[in-house]
Order: sequence, then C-alpha cells, then structure tokens
Amino acid sequence: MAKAAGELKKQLKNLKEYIALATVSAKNYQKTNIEMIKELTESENIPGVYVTLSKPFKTMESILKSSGVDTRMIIFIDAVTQTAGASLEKTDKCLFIGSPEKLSDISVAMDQAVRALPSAGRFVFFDSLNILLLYNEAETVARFIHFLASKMRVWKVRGIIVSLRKKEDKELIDQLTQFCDVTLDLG
Amino acid sequence: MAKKILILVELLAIAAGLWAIFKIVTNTEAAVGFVTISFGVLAVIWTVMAVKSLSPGSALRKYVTNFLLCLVFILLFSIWHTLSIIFGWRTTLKEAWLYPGYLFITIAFLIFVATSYQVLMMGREFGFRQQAESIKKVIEEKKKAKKKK
Repeated sequence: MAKAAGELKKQLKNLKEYIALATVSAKNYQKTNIEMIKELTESENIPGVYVTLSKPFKTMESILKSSGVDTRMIIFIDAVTQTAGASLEKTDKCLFIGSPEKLSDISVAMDQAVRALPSAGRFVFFDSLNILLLYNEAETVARFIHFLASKMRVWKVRGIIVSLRKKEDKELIDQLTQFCDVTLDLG
Repeated sequence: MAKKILILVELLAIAAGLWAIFKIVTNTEAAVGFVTISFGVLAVIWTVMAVKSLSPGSALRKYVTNFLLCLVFILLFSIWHTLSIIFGWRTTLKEAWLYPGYLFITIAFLIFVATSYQVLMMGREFGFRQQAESIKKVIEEKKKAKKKK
C-alpha cells in the first residue's frame, strides 16, 4: 500500500471523525495528496469536499482522474482560479471563489457543501495551509484554521488539512497542532 | 447558569430602558419612534461589526454591506418620522417636509430588492444540493456494484 494511505489508515483507524494536519514535502506533495484522496473515496467509499488553493480545479480534476480517483464523489471548491472581477462562479462540479483571500466565502462554501453531503461519512480535504499564508497574515490564517477545526468537529467529518513542510511555517504548524487530533508526517 | 443570569439581566435592562422612554416621552407615537431608533442603532452597530470582520471582496461582505445600507435608510426614515411627530411638522410645516421620510423608506426598499436578488444568487452559488444528489446516486451505484461482485 502507498505510504500516505498506509499512514492515514494506521494512525486514524477506528476513527469515524478526526482532524488531521498532514505535513508533506514538496517532492511528494502531489503523490501524497492523491493517495489520501484515493484512500478516502475508494477504500472508505465516502464523499467529500476538496478545497483547492494550490492548483486550479481543472488541473486537479484531471490529475485525480488520471490517478483513478472517482471525482464524482467530490465537491470541489476552487479558490485559486482567477474569475472575472474575482467574483463567485459556479459549475456542475466546482464553486470558484475567485481569490484565496476571501476566507469568508471559503468558509460559507465549505459549510454548505459539507452539510449537503450524506452524513453517514464524509471528508474535508484542505489543500493547502501554506498557500493561505501567501495571501493572508499568519494570525488570520491561525484564526481561520481554528475556526475550520471547530467547524469540522461540528460537521463530524474526516478532516485533513495539508501543509507543505517549510521551515518558515513551522511555528504556525506547531501552533495549529493543538487544534488537530493528529499530525501526519507524510514524507 | 451564569449565561442565563446574564440574559435575564439584559432583558431587565431592555425592559427598564423601554419603561424609561415611555415615562419620559409622554407622546406614545414619539416614544415608539425612540424605541425603534434605539433598536435601529443597535442593529447598525452589530452590522458594522459584522462587515469589519468579513473578508474584503467576499460575497458575504457585499451582502452584509447592502443589508447595512437598508438598515441605515430605515433608521433615517424612523428618525425623520419621529422628528416630524415631536415638532409637529404635519400641522405646522408644509407637507413637503414629510417627503424626505418617504424618500428614505423608498430607497430602503429598493436596496432590499437588490439585496434579495443578491441572496438569490448566493443561494444558487453556495447551494450544493444538486451535486449532493449526484454523489448519493454514485454511492448507491457503487454499493450495488459491490453487492453484485
């Protein structure tokens, strides 16, 4: 079994809901994300919300599809694709927020998307924390993640917040660890 | 328990405030005007606080800003209406003095219409029911396929 999926299973087995902070190296970033999504949608067969700040929806969807992930199980929220006037745009598969700075819209979109999904089991995949840091102040990001973590508890989801392992963000990641149930070091 | 006591104290404070207004202002219509103005000011303060805490450029902030404008114009209407009662503009001045009040309430309703349209759009954009239905079907399909195997 792939390393990330194995680690996810090992550390979070028997847990129906959790908040995990996954730190990934730049080298394995894409591969690891795909493995985690595959584990959730294929092995656990649960639907979820994928919030992408790192790659545009179209790129992400084609990467996931080509890796054998059933993207029909996922609602995408894209905060990276620039929309006209940075306004909201909706397609059948994705809601385009327009800018990673619009944390209020990201929160509302996530809340609505998660609540629309069947409550038997669902996941939230937040990709990624460090992109958020490029557009927002560290304090704002910390508050947002704290808010997100408490929301994830209310939603009763399997929540994964991904972050690229960077020296500069270590302090924030350490700070955020307290909000999460587990920190996954995924190489 | 402490929260319940706090709520009780707040309710008592509101009741005392209302009683004071009706005691000081003997004209009932003017008293009602003061009460609506006080609640309007409170609503405006809370909404301004909400606008400040929302992300710049977000749909939610735009909506709350429009809502704030509605509140401001309704408040202006209430102030104008109360002033007209206190100073007896209906009887002492020309009828034209009452028109700004009507203008305020008309503008408030026009902004309400625009805000409602904005809410309709937000409902469409932030609503994921259709996607959720498709996902449910996919899950069912997968379950059936698993059973067949």
